[in-house]
Amino acid sequence: VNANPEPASVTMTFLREGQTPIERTLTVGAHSRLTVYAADVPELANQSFAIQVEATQAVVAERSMYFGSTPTQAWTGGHASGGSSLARQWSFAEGATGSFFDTFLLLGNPQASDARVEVTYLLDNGDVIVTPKVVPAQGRLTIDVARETDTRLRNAAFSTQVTSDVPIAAERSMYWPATQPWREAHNSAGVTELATSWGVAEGRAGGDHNFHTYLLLGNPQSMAANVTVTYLRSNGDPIVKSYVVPATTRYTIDVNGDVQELADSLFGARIDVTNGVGIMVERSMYWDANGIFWSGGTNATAARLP
Amino acid sequence: MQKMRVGAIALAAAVSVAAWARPVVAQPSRFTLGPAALELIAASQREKAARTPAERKIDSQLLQEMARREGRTSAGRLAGADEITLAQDAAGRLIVDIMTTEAGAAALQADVARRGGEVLSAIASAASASRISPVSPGSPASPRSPASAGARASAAARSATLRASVSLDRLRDIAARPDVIFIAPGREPKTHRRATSAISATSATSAASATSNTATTGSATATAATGAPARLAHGGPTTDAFSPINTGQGSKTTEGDATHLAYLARLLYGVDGTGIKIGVLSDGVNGLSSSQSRGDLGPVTVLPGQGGHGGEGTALLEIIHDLAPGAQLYFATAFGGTAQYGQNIRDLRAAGCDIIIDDASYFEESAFQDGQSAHAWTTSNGGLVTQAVNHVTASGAIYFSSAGNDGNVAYGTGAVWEGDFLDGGADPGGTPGHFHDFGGGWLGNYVWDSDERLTLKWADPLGGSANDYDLFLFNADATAILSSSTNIQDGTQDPYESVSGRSDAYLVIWKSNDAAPRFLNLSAHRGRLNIVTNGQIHGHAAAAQAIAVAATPVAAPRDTGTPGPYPNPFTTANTVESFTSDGPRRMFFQADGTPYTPGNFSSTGGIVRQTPVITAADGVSVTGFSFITGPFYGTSAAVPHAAAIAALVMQSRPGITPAEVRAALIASAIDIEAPGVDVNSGAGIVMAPAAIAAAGGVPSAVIEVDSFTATDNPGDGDGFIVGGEGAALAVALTNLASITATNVTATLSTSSPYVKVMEPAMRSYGTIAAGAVVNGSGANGATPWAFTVASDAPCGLTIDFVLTVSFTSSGPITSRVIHLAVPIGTTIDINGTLGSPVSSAPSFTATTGIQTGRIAGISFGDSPTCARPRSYPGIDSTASLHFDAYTFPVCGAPAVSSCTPITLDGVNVVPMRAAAFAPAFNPASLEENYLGDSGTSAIRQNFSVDTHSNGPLVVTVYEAVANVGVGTSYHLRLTGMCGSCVRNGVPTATARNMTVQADASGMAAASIDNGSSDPDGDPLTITQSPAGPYPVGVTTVLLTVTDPKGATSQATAAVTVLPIVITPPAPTAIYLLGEGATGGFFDEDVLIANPNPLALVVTLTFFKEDGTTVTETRTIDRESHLRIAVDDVQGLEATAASVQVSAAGGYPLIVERSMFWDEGRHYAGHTAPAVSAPAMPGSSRKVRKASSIRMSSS
Repeated sequence: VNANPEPASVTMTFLREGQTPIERTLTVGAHSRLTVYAADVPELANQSFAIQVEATQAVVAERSMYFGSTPTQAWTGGHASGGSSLARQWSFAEGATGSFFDTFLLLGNPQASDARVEVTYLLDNGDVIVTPKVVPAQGRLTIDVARETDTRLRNAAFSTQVTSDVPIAAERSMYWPATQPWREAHNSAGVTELATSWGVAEGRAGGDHNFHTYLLLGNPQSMAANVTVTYLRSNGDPIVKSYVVPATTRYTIDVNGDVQELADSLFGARIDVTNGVGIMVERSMYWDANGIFWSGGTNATAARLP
Repeated sequence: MQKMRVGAIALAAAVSVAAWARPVVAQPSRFTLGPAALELIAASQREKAARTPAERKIDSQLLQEMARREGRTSAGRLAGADEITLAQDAAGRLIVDIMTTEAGAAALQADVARRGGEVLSAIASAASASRISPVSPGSPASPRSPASAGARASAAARSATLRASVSLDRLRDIAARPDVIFIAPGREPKTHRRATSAISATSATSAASATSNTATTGSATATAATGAPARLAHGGPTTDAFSPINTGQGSKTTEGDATHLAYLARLLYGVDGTGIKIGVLSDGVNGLSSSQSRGDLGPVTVLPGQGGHGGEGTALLEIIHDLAPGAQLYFATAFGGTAQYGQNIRDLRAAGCDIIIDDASYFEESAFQDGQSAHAWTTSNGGLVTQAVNHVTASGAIYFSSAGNDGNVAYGTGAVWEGDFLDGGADPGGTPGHFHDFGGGWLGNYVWDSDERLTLKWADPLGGSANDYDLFLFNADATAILSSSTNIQDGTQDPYESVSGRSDAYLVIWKSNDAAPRFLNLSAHRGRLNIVTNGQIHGHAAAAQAIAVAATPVAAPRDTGTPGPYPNPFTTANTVESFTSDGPRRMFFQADGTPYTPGNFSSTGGIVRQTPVITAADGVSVTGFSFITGPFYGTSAAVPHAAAIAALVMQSRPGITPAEVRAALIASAIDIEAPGVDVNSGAGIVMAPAAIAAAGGVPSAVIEVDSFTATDNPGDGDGFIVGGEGAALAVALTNLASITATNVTATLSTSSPYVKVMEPAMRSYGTIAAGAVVNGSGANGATPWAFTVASDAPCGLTIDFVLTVSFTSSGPITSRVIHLAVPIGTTIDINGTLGSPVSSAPSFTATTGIQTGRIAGISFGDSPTCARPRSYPGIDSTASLHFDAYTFPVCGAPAVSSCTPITLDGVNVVPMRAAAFAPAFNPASLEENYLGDSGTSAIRQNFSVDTHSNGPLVVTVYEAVANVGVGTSYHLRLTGMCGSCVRNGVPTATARNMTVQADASGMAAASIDNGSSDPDGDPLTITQSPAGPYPVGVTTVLLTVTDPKGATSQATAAVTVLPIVITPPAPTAIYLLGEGATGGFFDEDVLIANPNPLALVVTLTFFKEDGTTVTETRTIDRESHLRIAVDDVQGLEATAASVQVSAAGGYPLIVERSMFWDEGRHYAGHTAPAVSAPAMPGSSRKVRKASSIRMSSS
């Protein structure tokens, strides 16, 4: 989207796995949006890739993906994600493996040199698992977490930190059910800084689709984080709850179970740490449809608050 | 071969005992009964035959006294020669025991009262003995007992005993009652204490004194307060080392606590007698409250009305309390007659006592019968006490009895002869009867000395003797019968005769012609006989289940022999006291009189019972309230040691049976005297740790203080600790057990408000092997503790430090608490000469002169202390006496009192004394300003006084007798003095909590000092522990501030280090969402949360692909959530559009977008958060967006 009063020239570079990049140049009109269908680029057929976007005006780019097709469902699932600047450190609060979810870390390196990366998994029992990786120059790396060497990651709930010696892009996708074919997925970019105040704009509990919302908190620090969550409701006063997130731990707040007052409502939330320990926060949301448990689901990285 | 000659009987005495054991009395080499003596015997027999039926029921000693008072020459005694000792009451009435029937007892009480008598007690003899209610004198007499005259035919009738005071002239009338069985003198028992001899008084006191010096903290050194208990090596599985520190309880402690290793047993096994009830029978509990006030005893339950008289019971209780301080103690007197004695034994058991002990026995107690049936009509009640012992042991109690101090053959102190009657021939004068031959033709047994009863017993059942024996005591030249006992035995009486003791006399046994030969027991008890055998222990001490205890000295023996080992433990080298009674005991009859060997009542009949059973300590320290000071000798002292050890054994193994306790004591005893079980020591000396181990106990390591040193650090450098100074305490620990202790730590604390122990207060001593010592001086050991004494601490303060030691060993005990008494203050030593005092201003000034009078001395030699000050006692001499007076300034006027210990010593100070006064000394009036004095004559005199801030303190040294002291050298020492009156001020540590941010290293430095200060303005050394930098998180930090005198103060605070510096994001006003679609497939929501504390107007601008825009404005409440269904916004019903969101005022929002499909079913969806600012182009190829996707499962 180009919110500017002037058209913007945009160059898109597709970083493929194990192959040379593909580049396209397009124009986005003033005060307008442009949809790019990647399948229209023949070189990208049956490819996994990252995308680098450069523009002559300040623009915002998002990417959505849809997949799966049945006689009654055009796309059984899909996800979308905004972008941000490259960084040397990325943090993801959410992540799960096992019999239901497949989780992938997706690292894009637009640099001219290889990125030497260290991936740190923070399990919900406080265990820490560190694995080194290399992302090729102007390439992308897909990490299937369940296939990491450490068997503790076969069936785990975790947060992740990615550190790199050069700035890279990083996202995390989750697909389900793990017994393929996948029906649905969500994807989020990581955050590049820890913070003590976070916000999420959406949350749903109950209703016709039996929405279920989770707040995922990751604490990579060496001391526990004392957390208060203020649930912002459409109607009614905020609800405040307190939690302690142990050191080096991923922590899950089951909002439906923990905040009964939010049943059958929409809400947002702000998450504040009271003892100065920086953390990462995401929110995931799942619902049932057509008699299928968790037919749909989304995830969003929380927004940092001042 | 008979030695009797016609007209004269020669009685020669054999001399076979060592001269040291005897009084200086020349024994005649020849003893002849001339015609006059034989006539006296004949006369006694005529008198005996002439007794009326009532007189036959009166003891012959009482009959003799009647005759004397009635002016008749008593048959069988020469006028004025007898020494009958009969107890009387204040009204001159005799104390008698009246044996009667239980049925007739009530009426008899009334009759006694009517006859002017007074019933002191009335007790049935039944197994469940009970007291009999008296009938008031005015009440009608009960019907006469049908059992009366025909009592003997009614063997089933139960007996009872009345102790009464009755006029002698009423006895015949009372005896005439058919319900009266017999009237005997009311005797009291003997307790088994031996008064201190001259030899033992000196040596034992010396030993105790030396111990006292080492057992307390050593304060009198010039450089430091130290405690260095003697380190003693000895053998045994759990006895590798020993320290007398902390033995016993209260002001005086039996040395037996150390020699029996009871102290060590308490530590090894964590026992102190808790849960065990011990009953004591002795004379009385005089001084009980005084003993309790000094901590030498805790609570004692005295059975109502049975407190007795005398204080030996108090001494026994103190010994038990020293060894088993957790035991619950009971007392009842053994006095008041055998019936009362037996009743009290039963009552103690009824009160719940698990262990019962006594140290008293009655002369009339049977030597040959195992008790006494309730239906036995005896004339002496000789089996009542044994029967009571049988009763309580059968019900589960353990009974200990002192073996007695009546001597033994082995040490030449024997006082008993036992053997078969040997016919020494008939009276040539024709009196029907025969003399007993003691062997070799000796018809008399010489009594070296005796001030007690002399008794004759023979092998007949109680209440069933038909063999009439008499006992005569002749003077040395056989010209007079000094005393005789001629009771009639015609089938229903006891086999018992008794006369008053006399020295330098001969005992002659006379048997009637009709009497059968029997096995005899002739005893001088605590006296000495010339012809002796073993077998002295008798009565209830020899009861089947009783444990008779012999005595062995802890230090100097009372008379002669091997000194005891104190402060070391007993070994096989120790021996019994020379006076302790020996065994064994030959027993002929069961409790009901049934013979063990029917038809055989000689030295080949009966059963032989080993006794004594074990041996324990005597010659020990007690408070002395019960009697004069000096070691407590006798088997009386031994029995409480054994009983207390039994209590420790019982506690160590709950549920243990009395038989198992007895077996453990015996099996673990140290074998002394003859190898194996012997007649003098039994199995040997009982030892507490070994006994508990034999009972199955598992020992733990015993960590004890080996030594300690306290000194100023640095203070003023004089070695003395005073207020305002820093100090160091070094403690060496040792392991007294034979097993290794690991992980040994010690934590020092004190409740003194004047002392602060510097943190950290825990020290690690690592592993301490058995017998090893780990020092506390820092090198290869633990580091000393630092402490600071408050500026206002009293000068004579003694700090009670508590050392809590934790450790691991193979036993169950993992910790113990040790108290260390550390006195502070300076010491002033004055070496003076009376009449020429020395001054040393400003510390003190001196004068000399003449005072009027001598302060009265102190009994008990118990000098006053600050805790027990002495009121001015007056003067016991008005003589003019030389004195030296020393005046000591007293610092300031602290609100707390100050105690000053004072010692006067020197080889020639015996006739000199010290006294203290405040604020001045007036030689013309010793009462004026009197504080206290030594009050005794000794080469070392100690006392302490409290000035109560009424200084200055004046201490005088003066001669106790006029003109004997001038020119005499003396040493005067005052400890706990203030030293300089200007004291150092202790600094104050002030800390504050700090919160700091970690730096790049992840750590941060911080100071918690918040203005610590020193009242003197001294420069302070300030340290923090840990010193920092501190890691992320919260660290508790100890702040220590120290001034140049080592005075230290501490405070704590928390340092909080925050992990990462977080830069808050700049406020964002605009949010963008690239994706967005509505229509028939997608349903789109824009979701906005307002975290701000105010409502906001938000504007949404939608950018469609055709370049047109749609604007929507909404209001969102404070701290709330808003959902905008984009499909419902006019102009956006079916389109693709991006959206820009902004809040009025630029307030931050939280913005997301969700899309669901397909319309109406919403089986899938996705969400994205808004981008807070548009990506801007860079000057070079700058990346603004990167994303990746996985397109397939490949």
